[in-house]
Amino acid sequence: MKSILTIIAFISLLYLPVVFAEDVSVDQLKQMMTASADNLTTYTYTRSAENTIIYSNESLQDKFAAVKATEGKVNLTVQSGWWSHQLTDIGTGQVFSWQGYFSNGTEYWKEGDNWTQFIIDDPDAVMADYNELPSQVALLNYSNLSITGAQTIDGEDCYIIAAEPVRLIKETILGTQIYAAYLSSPFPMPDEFDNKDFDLDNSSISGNSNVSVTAWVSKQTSQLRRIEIDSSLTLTPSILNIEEQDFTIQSTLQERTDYGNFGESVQIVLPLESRNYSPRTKGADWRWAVFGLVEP
Amino acid sequence: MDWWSHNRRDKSMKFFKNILLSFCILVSLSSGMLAAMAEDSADQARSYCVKSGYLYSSSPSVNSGQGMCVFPDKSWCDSQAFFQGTCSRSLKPNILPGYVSGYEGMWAQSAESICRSSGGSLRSVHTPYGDITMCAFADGRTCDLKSMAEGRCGRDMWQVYARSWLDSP
Repeated sequence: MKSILTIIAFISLLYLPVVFAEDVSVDQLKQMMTASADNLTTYTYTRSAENTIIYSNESLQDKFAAVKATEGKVNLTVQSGWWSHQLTDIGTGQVFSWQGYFSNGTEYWKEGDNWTQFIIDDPDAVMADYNELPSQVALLNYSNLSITGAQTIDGEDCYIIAAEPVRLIKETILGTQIYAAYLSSPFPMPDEFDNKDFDLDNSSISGNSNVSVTAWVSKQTSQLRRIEIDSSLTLTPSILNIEEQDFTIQSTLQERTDYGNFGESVQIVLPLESRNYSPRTKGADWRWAVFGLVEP
Repeated sequence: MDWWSHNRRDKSMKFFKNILLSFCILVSLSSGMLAAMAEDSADQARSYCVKSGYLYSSSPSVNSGQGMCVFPDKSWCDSQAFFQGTCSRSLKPNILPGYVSGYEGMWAQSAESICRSSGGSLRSVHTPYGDITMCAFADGRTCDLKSMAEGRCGRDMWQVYARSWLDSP
């Protein structure tokens, strides 16, 4: 009798995700998420990202680690936005800050203490850039989704969704991670990378890497509340299918974004100090590129 | 030939000589003015680029040696075109560097129109390394814009994207 109960309990556990998924299909969820993202008025977000790269060969063991903390506000009603990034190089302790404001059709950046004003001839495109949540929903829309469970976030019941991005997106993430790994590398970038025919399919990177996306979507509003992206890869000459002296590069990138304050009052006030703007005369520090675009 | 006719011919010759001289002076003056105007215009374009917060650059091998305004993602626009308001800060992360595609603006514009005319629509998709723009079709197919411009949708372009994204100024 006891063993029968154990078997029933085990079978119930196996079917638990299906029970959670019963009330909505992934296709319906995609449609509802898109509709919610299209009807946004205001929201805020926080993001943390961490990148660790370990380099080793027979004579050295080196590590680069950096974290990037981001906050943002978006007010589509008055067409304004703000983001703030703080990047910390864990090894050296150096901290870099970068803020962007978009208000009244004008954009300002604050890099360190320096303000720059931008002349914008397509304010709608810039606003779309600040309104970043729809692009996260698009990442889910162009992924194979499965509902794996449920969890409460800030008192709101959410579906937990596992997402596997389409090949184009997955390879773009891994490809960028490879180049990012070489930004701080003690090993030179292989000449093969300059060859346009060098292909992920010709190497075994996909077998030595992993891109996983997990999202939390509100059951009530279908708004995206949280999304986590983890990407890891290992590079060696044999994995890359190149002839080089032996080395190993292990890179991990973890990013987590939380969204909230949907439809609530979101104030974006351009500081008075922005009036003291001056021409931008130098580019961004290379460490911003470890997290991708130098333009955040 | 009588004196009156001779005198009249001389006067005519003088008149034509004067006109020719005036014309030459006018041409040389106006070419100087045009050169000065072009120089002023180049200075204005350069100043406008820098004051807008971007980097001004020129290279004999790019943009036929003409001045360029370089944006933070390393994309660029002819400085005169930027001054005249026909281009602005690039918002397309997957604009490729010049060494890959030549003049990137042409294919980007062409890919966008090919995407739309093929029934697709442009979609901005988040990645941890920045958003990418791709062409998405109703049947779920996706294509990157560079491949689309080359008529080779589905070709693997990860390397080109990755390189252009990390090519910091």
